[in-house]
Amino acid sequence: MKIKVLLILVVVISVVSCNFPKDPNSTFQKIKKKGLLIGVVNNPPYSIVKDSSFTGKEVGILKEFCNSEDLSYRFITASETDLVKNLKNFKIDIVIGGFEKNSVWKKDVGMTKPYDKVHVLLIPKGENRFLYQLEKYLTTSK
Amino acid sequence: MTKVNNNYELPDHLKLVLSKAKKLEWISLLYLISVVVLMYLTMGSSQAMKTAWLEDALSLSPSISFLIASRIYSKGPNKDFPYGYHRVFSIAFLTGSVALFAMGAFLCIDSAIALIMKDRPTIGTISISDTQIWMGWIMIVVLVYSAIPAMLLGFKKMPLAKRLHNKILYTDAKTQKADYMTALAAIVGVLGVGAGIWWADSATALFISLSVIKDGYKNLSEAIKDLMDRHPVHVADKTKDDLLDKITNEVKQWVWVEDAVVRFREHGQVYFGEIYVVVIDDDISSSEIEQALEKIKDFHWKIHDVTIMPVRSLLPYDYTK
Repeated sequence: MKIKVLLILVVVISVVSCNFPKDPNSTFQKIKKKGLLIGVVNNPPYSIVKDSSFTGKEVGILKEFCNSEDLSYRFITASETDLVKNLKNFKIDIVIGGFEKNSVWKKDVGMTKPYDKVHVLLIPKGENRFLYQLEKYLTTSK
Repeated sequence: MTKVNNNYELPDHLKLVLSKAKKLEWISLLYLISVVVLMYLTMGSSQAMKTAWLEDALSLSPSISFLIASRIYSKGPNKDFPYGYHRVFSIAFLTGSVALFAMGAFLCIDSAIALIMKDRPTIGTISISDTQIWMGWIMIVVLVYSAIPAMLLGFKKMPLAKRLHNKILYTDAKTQKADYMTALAAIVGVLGVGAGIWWADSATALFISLSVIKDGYKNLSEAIKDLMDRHPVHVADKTKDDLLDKITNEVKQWVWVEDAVVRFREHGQVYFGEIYVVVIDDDISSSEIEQALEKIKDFHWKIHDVTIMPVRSLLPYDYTK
């Protein structure tokens, strides 16, 4: 009896595991259709906002990520607080600006693992498929 | 009268059982430390993992307190502790249950807050030799590791605890045997997160915390009742130990005894108590009473310390009602 249950469990897990983890809010699927909306806080050299051009190390990382995943992208800028608030409400998909892993926003947002041992990208909490894709890119691009 | 030495509580065949139990607890301790470290390293922001982790961390306490108590319990009585040190087991049991109960309550509130605040667990990835693996899978592997050896240890300790009449060992064994439930619940939580159901995590955490509270409450109530000197009970099913009835019947059969009443309480693994007897012939010698004491002590190893008190009537001492 117990062995049967275990077997069923193993089968079920291996069937569904192919597309694990999923996003509770389907962020990654939405990005594929509508493109990645990136919130940028001006913080050279990680992210530089000048007139309406966006440059910097993290901007570069995300551009390359989008190219590798075949995604379109758009940048917007606002105050840090507004951007994080919109990130929490799933209005934007990712916020960059040289945030560190001990950032004050730690409890409000999800974070990628540091791409350079210190700096992280902010994503909506719990969107684990999106996180998976980002971290996969961050690891392979090293 | 009392045999005084430093290792006098258990009969020889049970000393072997105790040393086996000690060995198992040492193994448990080392294994649990490895589990706690591994879980800490993998738990990330999963509430279910945090709950299972704290529960496992707390399950170190029975092993530790058993090992400490088992060094103390059989010291002989002295002028500062004239009743010996047997109750160290009861105290260890009480402190363990208080900790378990408090932790359960904390985890319950913590998980409920996570659920109400809609706190979504963000679980990242780990790269092992060029393969990107979702941390959820690693958590599940660690949870399985936290369950199966624990279960086997629990099964091995259970019979020893019954033979030793040792509550802390018994509770430890029982909790470990049931530990797979916690691990399974946490696995369901992590899988739920993988499936995109964010609340699965804090909901299973809440479920686990409720079971911790339940265990904590049950143990706490047992520990308090023991320290309140209730009628001794069996460790496993909590039914009244019929050893006391057997003693009453034995005493009543003695030629110089007309009627008798006994009263015992648990001091850790052993019993302390009094026997009130109405003697047929008022003229009873102290040597006869001393012989009777020896007889009672030989009756069963659990009967550790007895007083026999000749009285004229049992009425004031009849606790059997």
